[in-house]
Amino acid sequence: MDVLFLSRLQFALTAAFHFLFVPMTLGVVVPVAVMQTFWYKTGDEKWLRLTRFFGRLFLINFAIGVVTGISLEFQFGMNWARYSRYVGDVFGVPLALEAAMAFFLESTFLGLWIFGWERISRKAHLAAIWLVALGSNLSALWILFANAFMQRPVGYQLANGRVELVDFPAFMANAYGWVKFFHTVFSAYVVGAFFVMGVSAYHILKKKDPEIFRKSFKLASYFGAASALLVFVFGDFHAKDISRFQPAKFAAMESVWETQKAAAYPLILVPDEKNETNKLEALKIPYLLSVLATYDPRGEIKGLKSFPAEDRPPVLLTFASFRTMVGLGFLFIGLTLLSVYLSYKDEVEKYPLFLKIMLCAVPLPYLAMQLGWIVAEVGRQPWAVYGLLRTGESFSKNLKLSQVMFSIAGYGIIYAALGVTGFYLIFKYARKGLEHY
Amino acid sequence: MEILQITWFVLWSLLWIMYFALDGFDLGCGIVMNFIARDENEKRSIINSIGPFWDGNEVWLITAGGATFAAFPAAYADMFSWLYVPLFLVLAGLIFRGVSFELRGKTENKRVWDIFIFAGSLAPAFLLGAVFGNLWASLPVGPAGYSGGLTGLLNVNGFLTALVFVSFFVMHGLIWIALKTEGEMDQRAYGYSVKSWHAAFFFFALFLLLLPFRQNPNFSPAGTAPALMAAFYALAAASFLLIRKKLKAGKLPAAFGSSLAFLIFFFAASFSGSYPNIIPSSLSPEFNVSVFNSSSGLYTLKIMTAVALLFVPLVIGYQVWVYRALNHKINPRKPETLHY
Repeated sequence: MDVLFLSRLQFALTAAFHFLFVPMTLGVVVPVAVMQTFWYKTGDEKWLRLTRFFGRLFLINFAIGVVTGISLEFQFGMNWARYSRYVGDVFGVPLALEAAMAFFLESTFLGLWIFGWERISRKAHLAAIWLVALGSNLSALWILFANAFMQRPVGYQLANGRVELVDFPAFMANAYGWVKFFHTVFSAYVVGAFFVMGVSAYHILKKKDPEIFRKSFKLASYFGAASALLVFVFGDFHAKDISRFQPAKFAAMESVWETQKAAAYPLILVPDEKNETNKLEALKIPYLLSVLATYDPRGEIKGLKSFPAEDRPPVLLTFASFRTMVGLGFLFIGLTLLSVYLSYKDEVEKYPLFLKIMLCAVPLPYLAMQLGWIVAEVGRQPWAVYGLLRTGESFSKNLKLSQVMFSIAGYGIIYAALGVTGFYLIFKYARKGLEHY
Repeated sequence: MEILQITWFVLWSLLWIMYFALDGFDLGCGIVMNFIARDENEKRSIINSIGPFWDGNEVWLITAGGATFAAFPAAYADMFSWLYVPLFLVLAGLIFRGVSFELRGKTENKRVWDIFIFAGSLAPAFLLGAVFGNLWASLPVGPAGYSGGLTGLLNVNGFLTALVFVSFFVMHGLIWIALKTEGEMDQRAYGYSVKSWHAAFFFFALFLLLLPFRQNPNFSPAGTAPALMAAFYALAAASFLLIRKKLKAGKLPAAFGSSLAFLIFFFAASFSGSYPNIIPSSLSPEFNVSVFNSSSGLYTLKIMTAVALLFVPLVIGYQVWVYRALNHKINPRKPETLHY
């Protein structure tokens, strides 16, 4: 154990934990805002009760998301001082923009939304929740553009021993950033949709206000199906960007060892990292891998062996995370389309087994998002900034092992307590139903 | 280039000033809550009084952090890694406090949350005081940076500044409670706010008296910054006296306004006193981390200036609007009006 290892572990843990709450913030605020809009338009009290019910669950989740976000922004300087010094000129800009444009909007108008129910006009109150939704989506935009610079640096020059921003429009035109933004945000919408569907399914099964929860189930099924399809579309773009700009990551995602043209896609594959090969490749679909990577059935895919061993990311973890995520993505499309069909026919209640499946499926989109980030960040290794700065050269040199042990133990205890409390409260209020709303 | 670096010292200071002046009162509320409130409804009223605002106030801290990263990356890297343990404790405090405000009302056992709110408000106020007390004077920064850790900050100057922060925020918070609540507790908070003014007076006076003795190798009697510092301290002192006058006259909104002005001027004075350094070294000026040796390039500073000029006024504008939209008083004697 050394400072580098513990700093990496701490960042991974704190970022992953934070990202248990971010997707729901992004993904539940939209249906909540839509519910409130329906109430505003129709005056139907059912929508108001749903808004308040899901709004409360959203707030519990939001509280933990907010407090665990601050430590990430500080951690760059605390644990990754050499990284911060090297990229601050570029990387600091989206972070500052995120705070100035997004965090203020989100926090200020959420405060107004919570406490403004009877204080401000209905129109202004409705605007408040939409501004919260706008704020959280803008926040995702900026932080993902910051991340995109780590994955594919653009708009900079090397000067004074660091990267310096020279072209902000080029920085913003980073295709990697846009594709990643849409892929991530639509994934978060899937999380939100499955949450709303799962909770609604629970109450329909318990026959508690089923006629109201049918509405939220239906709303979320449309939202979820559209999002799940868009996740797939942008995921495909994303893979093609990765194969172009991060070929070693792409090779690890698909466990491709030898450079090849017209590559087939093995549905079943077992990597053998030690011997730089695959133990098993079966059920090959011809040309598919080349199409996925390049649009061209004869396109070339670089194998891991064409990169020096010290420039390759860990293969097994990247590959397994990616495969599982993709599989889950298809599952989400299937489940949401089925939900849409049953909602459209108004027959959801006739299929209790399906409702049970939808209830049990709530954690799966969370899992998919965590796996997606493992692909993105483990697959980025050994680089902190792709091709420019290695992770091993990024950590704070002045830190003592005892300091990082202290902070990682502190985060461990605090976050464990937060996680238990947060999810306990979400369960508690999700089960209670609409009686108090 | 130099003019932008100086501009960014001003903007950087401004973001910290906004943070302290705004989060100051809700940190103060968190520190005094358990001592002022006599029952659950009164505690709830204090939490409700800052409920819509504390998070928006805290974003000024995040923005100050983000702006340090963007405008002065080297200073950001040094400051945050050298002050590792104190900053971790600040974060831990803010985490505990933030979740307590939001989750306390949804659980049975309030006692634990009450302790978190107290400790989570006191720790950031005290520790940021110790940090900035030393940054406004100097730190023993050598060729390998600063390695004194938390204990290195708790010298006379750091300790005194920590108490200055805590006493100011407590006074600020008490005036807020007196202003924003009604039904008996406001009277109690009012009584304590006058008392806390005297405590703040003591620490403020001590701070000013010890100013010439603080180890600040960069404070030279030449240049405009020292004159600015003196002018801001004078304005701070005047605002401080005004707080008492307005309190005595029972004009609470004016008292709170004076308290805001006091904090703004006090922090403006302190930051201008340390210009152009962000982390001054007591060992040798060559180890100073200043706006001139830690800033981003010209292009980034230009973009950041545009961002600040556009968004800081916009944010202040809508935050003021929200404060005004929710300017009602909270009454612990009417529990049905309280939010959980």
